[in-house]
Amino acid sequence: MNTRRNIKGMLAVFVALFLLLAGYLVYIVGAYGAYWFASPYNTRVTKQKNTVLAGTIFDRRGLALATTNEAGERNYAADESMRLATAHVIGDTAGQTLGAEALFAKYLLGFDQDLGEQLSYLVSGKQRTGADIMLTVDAALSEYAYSLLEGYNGAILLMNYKTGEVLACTARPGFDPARMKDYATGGYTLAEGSMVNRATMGRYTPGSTFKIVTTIAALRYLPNVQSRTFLCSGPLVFEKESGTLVNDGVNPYDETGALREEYILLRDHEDARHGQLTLEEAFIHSCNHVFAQLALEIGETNLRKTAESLGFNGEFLFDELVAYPGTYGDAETDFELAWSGVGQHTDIITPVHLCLITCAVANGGAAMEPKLLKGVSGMAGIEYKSLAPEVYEAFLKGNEAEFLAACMRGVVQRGTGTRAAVDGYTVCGKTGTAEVSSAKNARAHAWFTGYIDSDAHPYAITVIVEQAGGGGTVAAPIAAKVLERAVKTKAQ
Amino acid sequence: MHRLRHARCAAALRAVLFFTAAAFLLLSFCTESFDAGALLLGAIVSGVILLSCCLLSWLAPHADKLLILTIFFLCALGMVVQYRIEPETAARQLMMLGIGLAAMLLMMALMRRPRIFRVLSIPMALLSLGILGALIFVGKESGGAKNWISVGGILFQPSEFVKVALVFVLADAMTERTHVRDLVPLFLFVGAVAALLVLQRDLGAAMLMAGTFLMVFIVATSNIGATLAALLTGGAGAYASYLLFDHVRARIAIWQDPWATYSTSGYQIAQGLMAIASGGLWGLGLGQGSPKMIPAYHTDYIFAVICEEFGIVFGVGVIALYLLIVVRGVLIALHAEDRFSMLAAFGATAMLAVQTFVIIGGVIKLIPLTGITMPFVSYGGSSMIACMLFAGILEGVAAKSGASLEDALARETQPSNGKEDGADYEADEEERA
Repeated sequence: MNTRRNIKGMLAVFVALFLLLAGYLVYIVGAYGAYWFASPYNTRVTKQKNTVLAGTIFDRRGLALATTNEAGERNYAADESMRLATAHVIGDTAGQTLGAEALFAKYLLGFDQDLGEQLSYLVSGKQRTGADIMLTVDAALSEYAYSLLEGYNGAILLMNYKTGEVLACTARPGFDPARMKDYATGGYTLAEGSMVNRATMGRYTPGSTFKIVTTIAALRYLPNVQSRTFLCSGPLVFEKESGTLVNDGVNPYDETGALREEYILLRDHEDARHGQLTLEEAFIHSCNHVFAQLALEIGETNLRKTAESLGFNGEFLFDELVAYPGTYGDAETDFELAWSGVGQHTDIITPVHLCLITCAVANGGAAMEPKLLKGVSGMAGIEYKSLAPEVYEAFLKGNEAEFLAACMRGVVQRGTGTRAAVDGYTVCGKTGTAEVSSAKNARAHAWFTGYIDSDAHPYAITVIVEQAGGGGTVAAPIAAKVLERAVKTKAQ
Repeated sequence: MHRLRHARCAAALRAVLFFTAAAFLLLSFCTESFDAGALLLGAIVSGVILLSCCLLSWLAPHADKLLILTIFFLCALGMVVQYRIEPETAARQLMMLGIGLAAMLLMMALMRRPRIFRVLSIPMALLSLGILGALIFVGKESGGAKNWISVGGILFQPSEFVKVALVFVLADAMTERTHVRDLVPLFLFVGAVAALLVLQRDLGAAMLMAGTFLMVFIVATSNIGATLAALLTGGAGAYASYLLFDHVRARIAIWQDPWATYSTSGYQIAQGLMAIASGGLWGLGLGQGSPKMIPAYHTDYIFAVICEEFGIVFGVGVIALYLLIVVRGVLIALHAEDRFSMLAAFGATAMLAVQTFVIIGGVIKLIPLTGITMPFVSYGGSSMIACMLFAGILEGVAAKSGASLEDALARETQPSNGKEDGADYEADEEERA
């Protein structure tokens, strides 16, 4: 009979099933556990506050941003603008924003205290207190960045691209955590969307900053693309109905010089004609014509594959930061594909995602995992567990990062981003001007993403200013100011 | 060899008793005032375990001690968690454990004469169908499934006993017959049982029975083609029910994203996940969690409670213990004396394995959640007794084959001393086969 042999085979199946069970349990809690725990629905966190006083949250310079008094009330920084600038990073005590209060509740509320520690509180009769934590952000720098966004909505994210530390993270409008208790009674009104951390969760059209992705796709799928020259002859013409690219030589205009009804155009900024360009020059001058053509040549599949290799359409599972990645949608016609190659169509990116890609370029291809937690105090209250940088993913190959670095250096030296320059340092970057409305007087979102090429000051920055105009004129100068301040105060 | 196994089991017994004593001691200090009830219960549970072990080694010296100790550990864990959540349910669970142990001993005694179950196979099958059919009319609804029946004021869950009957029916049907043609009545029976369970919306039990049937079928007949066909039919049926029934679609949607419907249907899974995540690696500590946040905390979702308070490392340990039960069960089946016992032991093992996988997998969001109990740990009389009956099948088969092995050894050792017991046993087996 084969029955015995079959039973042995079944045993292998059982073992495999149970290994899967155990493995999945470990995997799923490792990947999502911190988020589930930090969920505003998790009443254990609020319940814990009845018995444990939450620890203090410090910024990287030791400035107390949130403390608990003996009555169990949470107090925040004295300066209102500092409270607003760091609100999203700190988070609210109700857990509505996924800031440090929620993500690090494990430490702040003593969930990780072992039996010995809990017993020592019991024996000594002292009020049980959670651990203090130190964040990687520089509150003063965040406050400065926040002030630069005055009059606009937007976000600024500054990271150390060698360690992944988030040095400044601010989103405007912010909310005032000190006044949140008045919110329920109507004593405090929130600005619209102020509970969203735009730096990590703001989903924006990337505009020309997406050309970084298209360039990477070109390097991967078009052989010798670096040595080719392209011709920018003005707007690209597409058939309106089918969205198909119309070959050169067709005159899309009628006698009066107006565009014929059956055509639509993909224009460059101010209808520029760049003439003969290499890929690097097209990047430096942010030529839509060339990048649209590249997108058509690369094809939708390969462009999406490249975007997905850079984190698009995926999921960011960072340990210390809740963040959304960008998305690259379907492009069905030539017209849509061309627009998607220059960061329009349905392309979406978040500032943190763009910053991560920028970090990868600056760091030779490897994107470091964003870190927000610099240390946690031990039982004695002095010792800090130090942060451990880790590579999130090697987004780029070394030569890809090198080529992009050269392109981005050119942008700030002689291209669209000259106003991002910082005296005495080499700044590399890319501007973006994202069209978000077809209305005549609508202004575009201004983007700048870039970094300082320096071992002593390895800072990468991403700036978005909503409905403010051109990336090169609005976002780049803000980036320069923040970088300059960071260098001066040595936010390392 | 024997001494080694014995020593290992003594250590295991000490570990089980130590866990029980330590956990209940901790529980007695958990509340504001010292709770003597916890200590009393701890003493009773330890006493019951110790007594059962003594009784078992006296009545059936060849029973698998490691298996029974693993089961006792899980029962003790169940008692600890039940008491920690609600002391009253723990008292009832203790009573059920007592009844379960008696049922196990009875089953062990009956398994000495497996013929009884072969004769009873057809009546059991008919009775199962009758009860499940009657449930549609007189069943009481609980947790979305209409699968309870009240006899003299006591609530039963007949599907638990149908599980036991199914194991015997499967074993009996496939002891001699292995050709598909001869097994048509069996297919009809299993199909009817599954259909009746689906009608009661007891999808978990339906999945469990179908899964066990397939496993016993492929083991007994080696008929891969028919198994694949059955799998395909089952898959097609599952897909059809996905298209046809809203509640099935809803369940899949909850499984994919419980957070989207947190305030309604996703609540239970989301609460379970938060509980597991809150526990972290080492748990919040016994008595430190908020298990009552999770619906069905002491039955289907007890694994989440265990993970919350004892931690994921412990949770993985619990999974490993279930695997140990399964491995021992398979070994018992492999060494069974006759084919019917072998199939019955394997069926019982498969049932326990699938049940564990389905419920833990559901709680940790590996597969869509279907409400069934976690063997030996969940609160529930019918479930506890059914699981103990499975334990009784396994221990009965182990005791019988062990006893005849010893007889064979005693006969063999006089003429030739050199042989090892394992080789003897194999030879003996071959001869019989």
